[in-house]
Amino acid sequence: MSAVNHQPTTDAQAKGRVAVRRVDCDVHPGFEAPDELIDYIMEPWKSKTDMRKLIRPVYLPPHVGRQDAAPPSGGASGSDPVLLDKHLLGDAQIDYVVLIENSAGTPPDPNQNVAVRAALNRWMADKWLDKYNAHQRHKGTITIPVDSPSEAIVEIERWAGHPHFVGIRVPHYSQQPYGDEKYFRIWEAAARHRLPVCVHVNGGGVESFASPVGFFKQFFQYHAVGYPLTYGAHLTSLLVRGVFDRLPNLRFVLVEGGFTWAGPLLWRLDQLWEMRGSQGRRPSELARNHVRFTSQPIEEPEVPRQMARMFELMGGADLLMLATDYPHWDFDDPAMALQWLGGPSKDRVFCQNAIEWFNLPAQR
Amino acid sequence: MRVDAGIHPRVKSATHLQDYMGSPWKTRRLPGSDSYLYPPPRSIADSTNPSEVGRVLFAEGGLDRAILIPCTRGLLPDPEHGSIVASATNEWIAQEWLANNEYAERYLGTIRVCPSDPPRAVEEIHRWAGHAGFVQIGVPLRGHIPYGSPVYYPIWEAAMAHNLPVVVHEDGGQGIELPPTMVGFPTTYEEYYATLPYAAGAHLASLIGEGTFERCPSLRFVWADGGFAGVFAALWRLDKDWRSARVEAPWVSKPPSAYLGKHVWFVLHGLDRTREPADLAHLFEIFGASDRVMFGSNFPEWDAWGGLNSRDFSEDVFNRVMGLNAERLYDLARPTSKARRT
Amino acid sequence: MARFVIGTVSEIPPGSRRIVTVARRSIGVFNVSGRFYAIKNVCPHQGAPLCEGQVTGTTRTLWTSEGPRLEWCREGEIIRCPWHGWEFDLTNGDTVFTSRNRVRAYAVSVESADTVDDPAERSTPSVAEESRDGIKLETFPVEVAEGRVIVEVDS
Repeated sequence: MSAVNHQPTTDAQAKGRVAVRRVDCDVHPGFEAPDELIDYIMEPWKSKTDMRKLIRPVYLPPHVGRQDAAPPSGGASGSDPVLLDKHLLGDAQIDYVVLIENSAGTPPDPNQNVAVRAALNRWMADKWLDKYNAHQRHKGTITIPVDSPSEAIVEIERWAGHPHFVGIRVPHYSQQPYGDEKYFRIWEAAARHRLPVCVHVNGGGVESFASPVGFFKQFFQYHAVGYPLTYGAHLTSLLVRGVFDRLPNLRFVLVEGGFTWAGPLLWRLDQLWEMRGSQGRRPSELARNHVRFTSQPIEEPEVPRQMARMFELMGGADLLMLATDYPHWDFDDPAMALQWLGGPSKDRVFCQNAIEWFNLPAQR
Repeated sequence: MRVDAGIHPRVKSATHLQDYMGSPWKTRRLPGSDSYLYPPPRSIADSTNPSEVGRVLFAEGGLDRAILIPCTRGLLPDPEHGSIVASATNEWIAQEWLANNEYAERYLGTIRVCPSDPPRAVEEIHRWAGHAGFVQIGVPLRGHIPYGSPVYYPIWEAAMAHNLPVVVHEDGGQGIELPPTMVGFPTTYEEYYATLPYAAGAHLASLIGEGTFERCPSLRFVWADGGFAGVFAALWRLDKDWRSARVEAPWVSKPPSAYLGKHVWFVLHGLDRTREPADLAHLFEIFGASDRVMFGSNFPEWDAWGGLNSRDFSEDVFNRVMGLNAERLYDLARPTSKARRT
Repeated sequence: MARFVIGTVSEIPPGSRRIVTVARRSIGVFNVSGRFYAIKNVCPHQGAPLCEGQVTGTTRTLWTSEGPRLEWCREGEIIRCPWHGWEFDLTNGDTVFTSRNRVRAYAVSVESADTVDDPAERSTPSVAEESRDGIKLETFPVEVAEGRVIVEVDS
């Protein structure tokens, strides 16, 4: 595949199309300056919002950003579209990136949250999907205030027709598991517009942090076990409460929550379903038809071969989609992180599953 | 030897346990023995009568031993009350199950303690550790502080001093527990029951991540709610994150997964089955689990099962899961100088 | 094995580093309290530019009756990969966490021109190129008495 081509679209079209080989399903654009978002927030919240207070960094990773992804100009990692394109579209040979905002936590005031989410969508549309998207390889997700369902639907309706928004973003932390009836209207709107719902970890803000057994002392424990517990609760809830039966066009993506823990959970749900009378569809089949997982952070057991075996056992080729989580600290380099992945499975994971799921062109 | 690593005896009435308490505690109300925040489907049998249960498990079922894990219904707000309940539970088990019935010698007991009251928990362990019928300490799955915390050191030290493993089991949820998920209270029993066992991973992240397994080298845990594969899979994430974060926890002197061999056992439940039995055998292999999962029927709960089918597994794996692993963990084959005294 | 001059001792003062290209490899040379170490500028994990990471110390455990505590140690001897933060011991290339991973470490010596008495050796070793801007280091005059930092690499 040729190196990144910054020429305008018409030139690329004149040269003929290339086949899409890699789709990165989890990329985080950053802010060039802490107040970059303020311009996009409507009053009365514009003058009341202090960006520094929207992030509550309780559990801190070793360093937040990949240290070479911070632009020389001084902005946050991932804030320079040209540098981002060089690293991803160029070095990592990605064809499409799916941008997911993660730089503004959830404030306690739901009205402020509505205003901030709306601003993030305007910012993403303006800067990342328009001004710096001549190559049309940036795709975005509509971030919504999930615990304010009416306003969340307004946001979805506002952006659903946009050519480059390909999904919806909800945070990992919510007041109820996502199969709860209170969220159904939101999923109904998502399904109607054929926009996959991407669950992604919060940028901070409101979150209970309480596991069923208490509070983790350190980041690496919270990250390693807390995320699977959280995502597992959402996945179970969606499957058990029959949301996908009621919304056959609904699609979900569990982003950055890990992958191998889901296999045993789905088997457990299948067993539970059988022992309770096998009503409706088998949970693992529902998952195969309605849920995808992103690869980053891919598990790295002490014996790498075990990862390949679990992947096979889980039918991972159906479920997994490539992601780098650029520019975060635990970024996975596509060339290196999935070396155990072979042949036809690699194509599915690196591009085909995402092309299908997000309805992307197979050529560009 | 065929061992059932987890059955649940029940008290005969709401006040049965109070018979084993002194005043003023015997007049304090408790959640009933059938009290659940998420009521499960109907049990398959009654489990209040040791003779009846024994007939089903031993005479008809062909088991040699059954390990009793009594549940106390939830975390009580007052830790002292929790210790009183635990103590009464142990008296009840010692007097009615480990003695005074024709199957008494086949039952093995769990010394229940209240982890939020370490001094009384230690007393309780010392009181019963010399009784031949008790083979482990028992604590609830849920709590406010994960089990790697230094606040529990006295309890784990007492367990080690008596060479007793610690079994962890969900207790019913009718107390001051934190929500069963990290995103609030789910609506249905199925959501609660399918996901809660994986909270064991949070305790393990704490026991490993806070260096408790380093400090307590002979401490052994049994996770009695099932879910071994999901918990081990989550621990792969812990291996990866530890490589980045070792500087925060230098007491984790080897990869987190390397602690499993000396410290971790699981009860195998009916819900741990896979559609293809061969897949379960593969999971045992992938996670190195065949020497540390132990069949537990979960009698008399609705999802009770009879164990592995010998046709579907190698003789070695079958024997380990259906008895040998428990025999070794609890040292059942060795004649003991302890007596079953009450 | 080939030997490459990285620079003079005064050009790489204690606590500093130089990243250079020698024999088609990117290598970082570090001065740790007056001693020199060199490691490959490729993290064995996912290929990150390891030598651009933070040079720092690390922690060890102090056990107390209330539980384990952190003690800081080995300041300046550890480098953390800029991507996933893996800690490497600059003095030998081993990961600080227990593993079979390591980064290739190269032998480094400091020589002054005066100490060279074998005529064959008197010819200047290959001069390293800065990997950043491609500027070739100048050949060092033989009469400079100051030590030269020399890395040995399989060529």
